[in-house]
Amino acid sequence: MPHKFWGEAVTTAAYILNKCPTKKLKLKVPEEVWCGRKPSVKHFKVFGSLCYKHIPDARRSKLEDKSEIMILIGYHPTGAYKLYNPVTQKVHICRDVIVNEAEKWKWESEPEYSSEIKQSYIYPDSSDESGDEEDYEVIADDQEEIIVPARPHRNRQAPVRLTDYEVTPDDAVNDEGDLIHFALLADAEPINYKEVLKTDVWKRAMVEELLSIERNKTWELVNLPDKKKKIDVKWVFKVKLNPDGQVSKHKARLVSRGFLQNQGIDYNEVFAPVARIETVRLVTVIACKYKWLLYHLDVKSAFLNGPLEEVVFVSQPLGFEIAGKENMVYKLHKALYGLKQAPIAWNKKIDQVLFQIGVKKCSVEFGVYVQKLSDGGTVIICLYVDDLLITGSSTSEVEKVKEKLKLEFEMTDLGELSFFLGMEFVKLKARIVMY
Amino acid sequence: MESCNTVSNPSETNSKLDECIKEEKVDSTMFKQIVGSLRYLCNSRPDICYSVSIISKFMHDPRKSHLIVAKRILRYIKGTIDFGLLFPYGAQSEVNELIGYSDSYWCGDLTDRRSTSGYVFKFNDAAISWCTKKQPVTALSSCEAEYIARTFATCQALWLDSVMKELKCEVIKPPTLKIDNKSAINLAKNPISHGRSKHIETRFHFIREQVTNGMIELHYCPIELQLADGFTKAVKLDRFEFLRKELGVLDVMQL
Repeated sequence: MPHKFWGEAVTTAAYILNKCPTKKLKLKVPEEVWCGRKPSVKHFKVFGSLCYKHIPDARRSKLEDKSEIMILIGYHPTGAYKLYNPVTQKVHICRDVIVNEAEKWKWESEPEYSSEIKQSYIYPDSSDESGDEEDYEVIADDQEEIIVPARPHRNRQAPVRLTDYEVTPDDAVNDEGDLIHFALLADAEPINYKEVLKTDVWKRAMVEELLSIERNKTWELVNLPDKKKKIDVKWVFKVKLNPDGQVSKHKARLVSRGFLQNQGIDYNEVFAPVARIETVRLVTVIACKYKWLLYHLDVKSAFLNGPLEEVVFVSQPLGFEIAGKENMVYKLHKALYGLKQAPIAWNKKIDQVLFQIGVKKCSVEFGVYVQKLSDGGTVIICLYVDDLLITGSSTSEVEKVKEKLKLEFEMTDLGELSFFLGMEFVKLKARIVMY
Repeated sequence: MESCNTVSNPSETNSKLDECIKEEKVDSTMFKQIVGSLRYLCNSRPDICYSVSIISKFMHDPRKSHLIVAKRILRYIKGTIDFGLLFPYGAQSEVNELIGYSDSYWCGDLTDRRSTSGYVFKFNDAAISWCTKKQPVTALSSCEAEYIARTFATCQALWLDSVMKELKCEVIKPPTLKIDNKSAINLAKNPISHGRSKHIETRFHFIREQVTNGMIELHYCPIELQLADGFTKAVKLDRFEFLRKELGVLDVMQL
């Protein structure tokens, strides 16, 4: 046999060795030890012997040969034989074979091989044993070393829709050193933190965000334990506008890439209740009826207050790594924006705080909290993630609740309700209009 | 769109839309953005609720005529940009009352012939909750469609009632539901299995139970005073303006 079959020979030898008893395993068969079942050796045939592969009826006419002559070059894990067709120089995998172990192919009369070998794998259809075949042609990519079953190689083709265009990779740089792909940012919100570090406004925003995180005692620097994954963090920048379109604030937010988390390992519950819009309107109507004042409170960096039940590690924020401790990670005590469990963690926290203040959760609407006062009045709180709408029969009681909340969280008191959930509330002489 | 002419109602009277498969496709991302924004606007503008529900049926495969309808809503919004929902101050009456209006439009959808149900709830004369929805089953008669619409409204009424109880803002009377179809009221009040209603699914008989328990009251109201009318069909301009006023959607600048 020619040398080009050495690879097949080695594979076959290993296949046979794994099915023979060895001294090392006290004369047990390696495969038996591995899978607990004695393998059959009934199908073993002499390597390189001549065999006849059955041609299915569909592939031949009445008077053609019922079989093709091939050479056995190994076994396929599915239980089929690997056959080599010396005429077409193709490898086939087939079950429907009659092997003649006494005969061999006369290799000497073989013509020279062309350097480019065309081969096709013919796999038996696993559901149909009669050998219904499906073949696809592959061009061998290895020209010097002629190993017959070379790895299939796929020709890469650019999509047809791009043929009319000049295609460059996304990060390609032209001769002047500029990025070729350059998108103009709509309201100049930077995406890349490197360019951000140059501008003062954004830098200040980032420092403010980090201070907020530190104040909340959100994390501590630790070494990453073995077998624990860390979650990357990134900066997100946002220009906040006033209702009239003026720039009111530059905001930088450190977010974790929560999509890297796995359910059950890194988090369990995700959803948090909010007040329904109907309820917000209902509360507004009630407040109007009794001429109560509506107040709007906003919790600063609300999600950073939610204590985490799961252990989560995040990497250090870009641009603010601590020198000498670059390899350490932050262990989170409280949630970070972007974490899957952040909303529920925050909701649990505020639920607990409101309960301590003495405000009860409404049993049919989880975003609403009611406090019953001793004089028969009420204080109502609508909770929409980090926005709170507070109203009540007595202004002093409402103020008390506000003070208590401010002790717990860092809050901005937005005064009387004017802009809630993107809707503007205008107080006129005798009514409130929402639009 | 900034320099477009305004229109005075969001959708053409009696216009009907189907899938328009033969027309050319439009940018579906933009269409979805428009619908999404309009849906949020529905939170404070009940008057466009029906029109938005029409175009949101075609979000998966928007065509040119769908976009035209969507743009008409935008033109309407432009003309009524200063409109808002009114919450009247002070107590007109001592008792809190919750009144619901429910209506349906039989065979409103051209594609699968299902009916549209709509309801609106007014609490102390301010609209607080509204909805337009295609019914999940095909109704065989307008009475049946009304009956199904009623059931959805009842569910909402009971929920609102329980929220108000929690808010210590007791509604003395049970919530009332106003309907413009007498046979549907009778169907809910008497447990008679009429030949033409015996097939109605059991879950829609929920309302019958609630009426018997006294959780909700059904009242007849003439079609002219049916406020939920605008939530189930595209109505004529004068009617539309009347309904809009009744819902409390008014021009802030004129107040």
